Amino acid sequence: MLKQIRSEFQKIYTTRTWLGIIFASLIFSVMTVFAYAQIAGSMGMPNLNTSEMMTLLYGGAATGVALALILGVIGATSEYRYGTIDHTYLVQPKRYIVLYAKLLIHGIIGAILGLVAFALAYLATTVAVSGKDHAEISTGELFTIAMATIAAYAIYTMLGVAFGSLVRNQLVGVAATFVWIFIFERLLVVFTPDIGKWLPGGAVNGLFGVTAILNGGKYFDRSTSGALLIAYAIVLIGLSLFFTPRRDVS
Amino acid sequence: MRLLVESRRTSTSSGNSGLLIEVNSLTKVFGHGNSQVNAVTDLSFSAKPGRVTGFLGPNGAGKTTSLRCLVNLVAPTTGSATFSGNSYHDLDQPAHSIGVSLGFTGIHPGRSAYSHLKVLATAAAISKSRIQVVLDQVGLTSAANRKAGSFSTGMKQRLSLATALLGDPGVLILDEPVNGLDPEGIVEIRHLLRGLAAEGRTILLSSHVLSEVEQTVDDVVIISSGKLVKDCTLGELVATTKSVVSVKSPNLEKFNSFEAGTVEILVDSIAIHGSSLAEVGHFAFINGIELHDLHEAKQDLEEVFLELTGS
Repeated sequence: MLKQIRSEFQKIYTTRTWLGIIFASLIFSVMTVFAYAQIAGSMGMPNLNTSEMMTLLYGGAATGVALALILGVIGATSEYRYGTIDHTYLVQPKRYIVLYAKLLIHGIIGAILGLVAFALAYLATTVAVSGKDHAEISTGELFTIAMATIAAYAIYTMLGVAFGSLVRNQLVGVAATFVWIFIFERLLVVFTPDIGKWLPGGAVNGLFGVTAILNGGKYFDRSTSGALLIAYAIVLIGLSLFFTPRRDVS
Repeated sequence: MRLLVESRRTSTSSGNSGLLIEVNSLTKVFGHGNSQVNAVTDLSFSAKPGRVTGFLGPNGAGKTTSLRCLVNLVAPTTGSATFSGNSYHDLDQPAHSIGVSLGFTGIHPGRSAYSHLKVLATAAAISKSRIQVVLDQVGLTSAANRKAGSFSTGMKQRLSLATALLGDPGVLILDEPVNGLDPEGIVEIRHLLRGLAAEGRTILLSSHVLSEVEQTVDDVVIISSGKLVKDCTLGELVATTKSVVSVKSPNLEKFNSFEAGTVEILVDSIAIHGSSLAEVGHFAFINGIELHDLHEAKQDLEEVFLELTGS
């Protein structure tokens, strides 16, 4: 198992695909913080002097989880795109070991990405609110947001690996992820919060402690949202573990 | 070539022994209902240690599917494939005993040749020193740090072969290993494979062109439309080739009474099928026929292959 984990790590760092995705994810998070700070107090958003808004800013990295998901999808599907899955399974015919190793290494990278994304969101928030009247939030709340960011990124990267292993086709996988996150799920989360809170995107918002939502809806609390995200991961990983060993690689 | 010989010596010292490959009643059906495709049907053959077995058939005959069934990438519908009694899936560290090259795909274009091999060496617990050895063996040392995306088809083919050799395995399964190679490359690979077989390794290689591998293989397994049509030694296949005796004479009409073969009349000569040179010469002698030319032409082995496969 350990050698498969090391091999999966080498697969990531011996190419440059991941760099672009990680860079995009971090840029996305920072831009979100500045955009939120700009529209604070307008367009139905709370003022900077509310803890609600400051939670939203420090949790600005939440939007970057979409790219963490893409990172996982590409991590799994590039094996099929380039046919390297042949060699992977020839060296390790027990496919569940490959999947476990991929999930683990991508989860770790997702967690590190989450930590960096939180640090950048924190710095961006500090810069964006400097010189403005703003609320302070406790160190405990900041720590919770940091943990939420790390957990969300780690789980989303693993969800991407599991989804990619099921879909296999990279173009379909990435396109489906974009359509789901930026169109389908976004509409459900924003306009039908009672449904949206059950979706992974709604659960991420709940995990970050975000309460501002249109139509007066509310997300689940942090622990419920975290449990919901973990449940999604268990189901998708379970499906992937069931189907991956049973499907032909031709 | 110098590198090739040196590295062959290296592998001799640490080479693993070959295993008997046995394919038993292998059948693979893709799809269901109306879209069902019988890729391989009731295929049985074996490949023995110390010999190079050519797995031959036209494109679409089911060679690649059979090889993928052999190494657990594709699950057979029925039947089995084993290596000295063990299925690929049940082997511990298969890369140490079975090396596989499934053509020049399976290489990430953004990864260097060295990195491609390192990723696999790590997963298979193979010493990093083997990477340099196999790169030498296939003549890719100078391109070790180049991204595979810039490789020619021949270079990718060599890298794929290096991948198969990485674990110094006793069995090599190679799908169209000379496809895309230049004539010099084909000769190099031929020498390499013959050398590895001489060490007692089992080599199973596929090709859709018999002439490409006839100087490499000892045994031939020929399939067509997923079914076995011939399983024999190369010598036995050569023995089945038919001969044609060509005769030039001012008295060709006298061969009308020749009964030991079928006479085919050509423009200024005749071709006699199913008879030997001695029989025709004897007939001419006893009938006092003046001969201007008498020679025997063997049927090309490729023609036999095409006849067998119905191509």
